[in-house]
Amino acid sequence: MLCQICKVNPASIHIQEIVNGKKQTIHLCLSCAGKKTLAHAMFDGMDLGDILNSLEQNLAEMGMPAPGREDGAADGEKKVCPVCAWRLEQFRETGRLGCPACYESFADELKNTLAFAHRSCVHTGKLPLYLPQKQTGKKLDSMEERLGMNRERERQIETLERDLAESVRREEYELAAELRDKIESIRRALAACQPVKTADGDPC
Amino acid sequence: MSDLTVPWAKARRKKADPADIVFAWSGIRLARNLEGEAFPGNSSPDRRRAVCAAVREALAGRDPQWSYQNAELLNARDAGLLEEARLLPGDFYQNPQGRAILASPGNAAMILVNGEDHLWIRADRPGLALDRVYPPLDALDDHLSSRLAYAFSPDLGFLTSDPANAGTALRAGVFLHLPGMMLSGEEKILQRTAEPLGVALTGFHGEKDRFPGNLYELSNRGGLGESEAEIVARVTAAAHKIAEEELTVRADLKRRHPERIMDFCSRAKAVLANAYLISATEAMNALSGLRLAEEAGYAEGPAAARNWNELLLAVQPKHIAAAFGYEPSAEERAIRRAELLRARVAPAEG
Repeated sequence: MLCQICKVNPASIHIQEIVNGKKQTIHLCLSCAGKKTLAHAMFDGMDLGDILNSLEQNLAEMGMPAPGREDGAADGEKKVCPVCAWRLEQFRETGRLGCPACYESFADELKNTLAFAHRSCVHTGKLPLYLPQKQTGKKLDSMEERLGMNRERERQIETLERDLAESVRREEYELAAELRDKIESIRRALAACQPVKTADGDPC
Repeated sequence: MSDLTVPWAKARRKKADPADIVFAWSGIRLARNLEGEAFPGNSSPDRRRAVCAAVREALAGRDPQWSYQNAELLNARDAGLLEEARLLPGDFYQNPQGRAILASPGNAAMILVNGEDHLWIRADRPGLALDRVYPPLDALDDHLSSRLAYAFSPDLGFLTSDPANAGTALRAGVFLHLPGMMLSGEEKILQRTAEPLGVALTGFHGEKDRFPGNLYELSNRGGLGESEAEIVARVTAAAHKIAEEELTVRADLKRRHPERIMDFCSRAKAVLANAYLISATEAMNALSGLRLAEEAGYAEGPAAARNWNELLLAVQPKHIAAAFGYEPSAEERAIRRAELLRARVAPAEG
């Protein structure tokens, strides 16, 4: 039986899922299964990377090639961070990234991981005093610059509110609820960063 | 390392709230990385040494009393003691090249450089004290962030080697002593209580399924979508909720199944008074029994005056071995541990 995703490698992993209340069995090769389930597994305390590796070893011991890993590795697996040369495969194996730029390099692949691990996808905590710009630091020492950060957040809210109105118009209520939560978290971050007026009227 | 003080094992002040008997200790860790530098797991020892130097310089002048310990020069005995006290992660000393430990007097706050992230800024205290632990850490972090360019994104917050830590990159943990939950078989309920509160429960050694000494560490999951203050408040509230349930369960057990508590406590007392060979896990469980006995009024003893955290640490293998001056066998450790317990905590009536 061939893998249902790549339709090239033999399926060696069979996963049962409940989709819309119906039980479905999906037949996958090692490579596609890794992509499909690693994000879930990492946060359930189960190291699927290890399981896949041991499966590969077992296949090798039986004299069978590990499907999808030699020449058939999908393009995604070969993805490399241009800044630090960390491979997507290394992230899949270890759950760790190579450098701060990996967050951009693997942005698509990280979406699920971040969604599983966190309450939302927007930072609402503190800001560093020294805000990095590329590799040289820019010191955020004035209130003016801190407010610049807030203006960025206000712009984000405006865009999200437009998306929200659009999703309501299209009756996509699940998406609308997500957008509403996101707007709410940014608003809270904004409130936390407003300058406080002292008795003299100076921002402190 | 000149100072091996374990801040969470220091004597506690008098407890005001009845639920305080459930809280063992608590701590916070902030993870930070430097912009433009590969994370420690992907960088060379030389780059890591450069990061150590930058952090040391950023801290210089703020507080000259901080100590600096190059991990390569740390001896194995001290590293073992710090690991056992959970002040160092297990793998920190195994690969010490380009790693360092900065510590304030009494190790009240520590910065681990080049562990999983460039900086882990941490502090622990006895009891439930997250709201008191955070403000000085926050101030220290502000000081460092005014001198070091942190890896930060407006959307994802502080960028960490493990994306599950991104955002505030703050981990707040509280250790709870929950023998009542174990005796009433409520551990499953405990996990069910923890889940909706958005907290995880792990044991003393970090496992998810073993809880020696009936100690549970409750910690937050995720760092995006909540501010630091919200995480601290949520974890504190969750700890209070579980502590209340533990006290309810204990009262219920005492009323409906007193034999269960008495059996557990009496066995613990007998072990502490009569064992000549005792393992660390058995010692932790027996200490849990004695503590419950004293707290529930089944044993004469100064439960409130005892420093249970310090006792718990004292029976750990490397702490027992430290007194020998050579590497003792497991049996030698077990003998020494039993002696220590008979001398320090064995109840008179056995």
